[in-house]
Amino acid sequence: MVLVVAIENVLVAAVSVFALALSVIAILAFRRTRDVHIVFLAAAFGVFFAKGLVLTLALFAGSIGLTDLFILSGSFDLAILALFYGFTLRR
Amino acid sequence: MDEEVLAVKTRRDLYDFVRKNPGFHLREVARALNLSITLADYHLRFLEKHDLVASAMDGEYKRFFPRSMPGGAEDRPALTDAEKQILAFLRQPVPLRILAFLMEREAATHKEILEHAPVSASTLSHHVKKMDAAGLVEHAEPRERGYRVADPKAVARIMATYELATPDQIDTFIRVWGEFRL
Repeated sequence: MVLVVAIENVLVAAVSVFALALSVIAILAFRRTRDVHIVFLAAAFGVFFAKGLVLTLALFAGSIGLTDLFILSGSFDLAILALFYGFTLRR
Repeated sequence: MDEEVLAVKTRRDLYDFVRKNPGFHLREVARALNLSITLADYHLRFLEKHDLVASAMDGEYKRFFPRSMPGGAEDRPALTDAEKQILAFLRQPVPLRILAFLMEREAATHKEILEHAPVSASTLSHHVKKMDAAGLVEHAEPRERGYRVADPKAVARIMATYELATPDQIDTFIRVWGEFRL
């Protein structure tokens, strides 16, 4: 059980690190291109990063129930997908 | 006559490649088209003999450039000698990096260029001297400011035309994600 929690934490932390790196690259890409669509992309990766942080905190605190965890995680996923939608399809 | 010369598929492929990618040297052309060097050399010589392709020696490399459009009304060179010289430098990784760096600012010292070019100081000096001798870069005013590109507009035009740049992680990110946009 302890091992499973440790793997969970490592995975969430790794996702956060990559999401943060991609957010920074997307912000630099926006500064270079001034293309507003890239803001959506940067925001999507930013939310990814935020999701990782919030889930890590929730896992460490251990005070969040499974239902709440699903709602929280689902909300973040919805926001991320909406932002990707905005990036790819918004004219 | 031109159509006859280009009738051989390999020859047409080579001609199309040189038109799209002027300034590549023989080995690069052969590698890109998956041909043996001998075969590529044979066909390029043939194209050169028939004035469809021109070559210029750049040190030990023979670089190829298109001469003119086959059958076109205008028989003017596709690239001027000055443009060929710029392209010959831009086709080499180190000069490309140096020029791309210098193009982003008005001038840069040897030390500043060295921080952005992954070569030794002596190698950098060698390339800068060659570009200085070719008139591609020149000393900035005052001299302490280092070097600058002599004709930035011409270099920029060629870089844009032939998509020459030193793509970094951000450029790759923009290109890859850009493909997802509708």
